[in-house]
Amino acid sequence: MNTERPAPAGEVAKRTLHFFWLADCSGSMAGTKIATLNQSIREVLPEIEEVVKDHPEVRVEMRAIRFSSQAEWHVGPAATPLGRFSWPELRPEGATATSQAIHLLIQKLDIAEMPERGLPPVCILISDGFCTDSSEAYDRAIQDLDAIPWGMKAVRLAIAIGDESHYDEGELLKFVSPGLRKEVGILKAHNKSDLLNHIKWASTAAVRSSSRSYVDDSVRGESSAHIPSNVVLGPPPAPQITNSSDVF
Amino acid sequence: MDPAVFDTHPPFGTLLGARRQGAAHLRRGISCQDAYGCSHREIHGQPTLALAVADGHGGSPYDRSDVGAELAVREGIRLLLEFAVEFGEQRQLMNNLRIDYARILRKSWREAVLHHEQSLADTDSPPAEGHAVIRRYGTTLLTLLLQPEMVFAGQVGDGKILRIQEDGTPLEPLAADPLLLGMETHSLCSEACDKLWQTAVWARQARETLLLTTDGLSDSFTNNDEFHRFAGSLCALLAGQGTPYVAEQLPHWLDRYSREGSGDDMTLLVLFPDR
Repeated sequence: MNTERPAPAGEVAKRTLHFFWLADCSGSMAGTKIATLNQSIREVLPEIEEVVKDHPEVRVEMRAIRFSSQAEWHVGPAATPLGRFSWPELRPEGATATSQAIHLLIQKLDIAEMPERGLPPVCILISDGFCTDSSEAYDRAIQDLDAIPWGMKAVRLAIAIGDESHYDEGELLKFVSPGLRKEVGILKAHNKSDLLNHIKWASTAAVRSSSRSYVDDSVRGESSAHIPSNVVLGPPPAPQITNSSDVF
Repeated sequence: MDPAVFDTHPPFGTLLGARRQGAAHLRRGISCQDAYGCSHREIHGQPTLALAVADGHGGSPYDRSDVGAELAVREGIRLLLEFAVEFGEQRQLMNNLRIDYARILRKSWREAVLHHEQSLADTDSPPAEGHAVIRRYGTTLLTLLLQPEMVFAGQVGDGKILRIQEDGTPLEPLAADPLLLGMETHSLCSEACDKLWQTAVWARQARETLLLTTDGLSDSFTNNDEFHRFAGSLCALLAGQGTPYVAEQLPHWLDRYSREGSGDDMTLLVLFPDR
């Protein structure tokens, strides 16, 4: 096309996929857990970019929330394009204010904050312990998340780190998209390999699924009765048998 | 590349139409699932023009949606003109279109779909029942019927109908459904599609431009305001550069929007008034 010839106005943009990390940096994450978390997220960013290359009509905008005794933006509140996103070191301290982190997420999933014709957002929660906010506060946060359209539409996954007696599986499962609670459930990382693999799988599978929804219109056409779960992820990776020194 | 089809002989102005296979569809070897059409004739002494665009849903559950879109355009236009024949008085016509068109369209489109299904040679596979068949043809549909005094607009699913005033100001006669989130759309294949049908009627403004498009185009802009800016500037180009120029360039512009924007198929119909 000859670009010197007169053409219509209007700013053109790809379809936006908003990606949120919710990362636990409480005191119990100290040591190998936080080190592996920091390293794994840095390692997965190029892999997410590879996934997006198969969907050039999609642009990923990324944010991160960290939570310990309180929740705050680790990267945000403004979204960063994936290509410019970098993961600052998380430093462990304090308690596990998971419900506060979910409330920060809810603010950005509000309809007014999201693109009019965007792709389902991806939200990945990573935690090693019980929410130290009250159970009422946690349940209210989940209810609020489930009550907003983009909260229900999002691809929501949870990765639990460490010994199963140190976190509440049922609590974390409430964060997972309703349509994925049976298919995927909680991704349990007992060791460094598990955590790396789960972070890679969850982020890339979720981005792939969300990106595909604009061509593989399996969600379209019959949405009037309810907002469907449009997530098809397939099975998560199997746990790794590993050296006992790698176990969290 | 062929220029956009343009017809200088329909009533009410010059008609431009372009349908382009989306960049994502090209990459994946998926056919274009959009369709468009127009028909015009004198009915009861009144020049009458019917326009339609449709966007088949694509994807594996909607594997015949390209046919579904073609059938929707064909049936949509046929019924608009039949209503115009049946109801000679314009207000009566518009009232009946608002009340009955969607219900009759639902029936006609479904019959056309089932006829197509039955006409296929592949009789080895067991016949699918009811909704399973209809769903494979799922599509949106946007229609316009113009007569000298009135315009009727109807729509089920996403896509945009715009009225663009002479000064470039765009108006959307049918509001976007706030219940539809992201890529969701209503569909002719929904059981209750006649309840989801939106309509508008207005007194025809001789100098306004009318535009129908599938969502691939409107979704390629950063937001609705930018899409409106595109539409307003397109009218300015039609006025300033002339219809042949826009007809030649339009397919290139649509291809670029698909490549740099939504990746989706794109169809645009523009009725530009004689000025």
